[in-house]
Amino acid sequence: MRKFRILILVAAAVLALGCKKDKNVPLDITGVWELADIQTKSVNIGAEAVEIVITFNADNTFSLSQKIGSEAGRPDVFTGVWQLTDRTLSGKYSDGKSWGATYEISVEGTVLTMTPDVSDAETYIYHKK
Amino acid sequence: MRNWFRVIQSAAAYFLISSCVAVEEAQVLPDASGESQVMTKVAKFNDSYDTGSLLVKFNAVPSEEVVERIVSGNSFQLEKLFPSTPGKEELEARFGLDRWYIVRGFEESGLDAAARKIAGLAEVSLVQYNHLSSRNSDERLYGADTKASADGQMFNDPLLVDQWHYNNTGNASITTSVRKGADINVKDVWAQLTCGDPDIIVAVVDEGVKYTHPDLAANMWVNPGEVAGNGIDDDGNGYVDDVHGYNFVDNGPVTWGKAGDSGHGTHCAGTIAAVNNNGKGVAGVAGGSGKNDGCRIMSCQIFSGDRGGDVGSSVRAIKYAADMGASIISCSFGYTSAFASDNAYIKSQGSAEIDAIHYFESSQNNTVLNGNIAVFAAGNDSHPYAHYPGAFHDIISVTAFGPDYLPAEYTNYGPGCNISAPGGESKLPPFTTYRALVLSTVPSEVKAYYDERLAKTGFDYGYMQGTSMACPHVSGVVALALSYAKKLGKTFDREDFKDMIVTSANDMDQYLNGSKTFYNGSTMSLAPYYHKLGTGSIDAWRLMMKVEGTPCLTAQIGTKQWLDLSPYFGTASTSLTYVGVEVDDDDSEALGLVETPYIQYGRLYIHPTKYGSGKVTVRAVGGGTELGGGDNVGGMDVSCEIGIISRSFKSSNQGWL
Repeated sequence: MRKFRILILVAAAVLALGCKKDKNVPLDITGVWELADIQTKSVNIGAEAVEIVITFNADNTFSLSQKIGSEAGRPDVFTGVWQLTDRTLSGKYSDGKSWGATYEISVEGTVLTMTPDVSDAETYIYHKK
Repeated sequence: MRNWFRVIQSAAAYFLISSCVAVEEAQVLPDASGESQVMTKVAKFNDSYDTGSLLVKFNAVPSEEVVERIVSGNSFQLEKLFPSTPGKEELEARFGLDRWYIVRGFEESGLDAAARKIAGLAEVSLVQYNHLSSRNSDERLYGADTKASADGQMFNDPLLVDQWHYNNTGNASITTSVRKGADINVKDVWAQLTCGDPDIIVAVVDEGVKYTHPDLAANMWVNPGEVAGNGIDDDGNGYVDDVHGYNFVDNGPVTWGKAGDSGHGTHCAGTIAAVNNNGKGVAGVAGGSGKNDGCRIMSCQIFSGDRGGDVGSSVRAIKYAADMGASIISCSFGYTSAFASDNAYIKSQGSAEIDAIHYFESSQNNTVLNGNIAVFAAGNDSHPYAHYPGAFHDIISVTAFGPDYLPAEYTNYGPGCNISAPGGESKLPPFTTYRALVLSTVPSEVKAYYDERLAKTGFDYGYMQGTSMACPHVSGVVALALSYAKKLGKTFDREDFKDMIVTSANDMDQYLNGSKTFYNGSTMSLAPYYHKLGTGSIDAWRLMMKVEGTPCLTAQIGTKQWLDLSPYFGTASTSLTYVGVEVDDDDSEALGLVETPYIQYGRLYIHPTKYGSGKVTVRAVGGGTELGGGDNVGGMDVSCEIGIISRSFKSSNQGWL
């Protein structure tokens, strides 16, 4: 009986793994993504409003529109290029400066999750527009 | 004139109260020990004043009995300096305008004696000589011929192409020393944001503005309560036929073509709001887009021919601007004498002007600010300090640069100067045209030095130079900012708005190396101007962006770092003098600050340890290295509340990714 239970567990595990997405399937992040949430290890998000819209184009260029702060006026717009290797997203701005971090990403339907590869990082969740 | 309180001595009154006079005389004539006390109440700093009048401030609003007692037995007359405006009595009292009187009617030789006598009265706090200010330009006008086409400029004003002071493209035909970008950076503001708003009125406190000028008439303020030329004070404000403003020198209609007039006021007015896109002449900073949407010009005339410039005229003009709806006064005049501090200025010159200016700034004539803005020229004597009253610590004072982006030879600089703007520079090489000066509207009646050997009239446009010309550039930019804020429905505190103006500047110190060379080979060392032209050159676009709002700076968690303050303090932020950083406990907790932020080398050092946001307030000297006020002459105390967002990482260009 005990062996049977183990077999069932192993079978279930195999089935479960089989249901997981194939890591080798390339992710598609092209489209327009709007920041919807920031998950942090701190409860203090602060009073400032942040509006971020990122457009990842199929030609590996991007456009970033950002309004950081409740008092911010018109959005600042940045452009540049992005690169996705496996699930690691990196990029450069048009002025030649690298992004502040590279990201481990996942895409679930219309949700793009970006986690910076730094310790104790907050996670950024974008919704496709 | 019904609001004017005038008391004239009468024989009857003299006999009725002659006994009182006898007592008063005994009080008025101090003994030797009291003489110095009396003289501390007399403000006189040079011999340039109106010999026919004195200004007197009482400790309290004098009763009729007190006024009669003063004039009785004397030849002079006493009348209120400022007409009272219904509904503004509280504001008038707050700044003491209801306690100011002007004394006239004494013999010229008796002026000093009268000053001492009046100062000896216990009820009197100050006797001020009616000093004469001067225009802040050389008053030389060089006529400009009109052109047929606009040469592809944004507006179809044919002379706009020669107004380098708005959009300096680096055209070497203006001067071989030209530097692209030596302008007010207004072109994109016009194209994208605003060209003005008729509700924003700018009072030109100056010579009379030619309100019939073809390039100004449509943007002249019109007093809705007054009928032109009927000789009646229709709106009862104390001034007859004040349709586009008033002549405070001659007490009558605005004039501009008398002998001695230079076109100064009309020139300044054109810089602020000459009508744009009308196919004529020049453009103005806030002159609209050609759809009757320019800011409006009010002419408050304080110079008339060879007369005027006295304190009595200028303060009444400033109060008029406040009471009749101006949001900005553009004041291209001042006193050439040096004062060691604000207190010294008030002690030597008196406080009538400061009282009037503060009254103006505390009046509210627009929906954007809880007040108004005064802008003054810094002065044209190459002095290492600004001239008063613009040098007063809380008043904006403007220095001048040329198309080479260097300080003009004539400009004052140093303590009291707050910001710089184009004023022109005549002697730049090759000195074959006058195009390195500022081009604007002028009255055709005024003689132009088209050729210095043959002065001519008939020009509607002309070149002038001076901090007088720089001042209206700033006034125009402020008018645009108020227009844009109104368009966005935003409101600001007046003092915060002044801080925004003074910090909307571009660094000029980077150009102050070595010397500048004039057409004749002479040179001017630039080292003395370092840090002394104010915060830098006014940037219209930068101010509009501040009106829209300034984004937070991003700081990285877990590391001590510096943040660039230029979004808040302009591109000269690294060379400004900072006087403090403040952060309250809640914000410090929100950011997890391990130490109080501080400024070093013009950068904000901060060390957050938590993801979050908070505010940090940074205070700086708005022009120069020391704060003005009290016993010091110096810059404005400007402060910016800076939003900080701390994240686990940041990019070096403030991009989010």
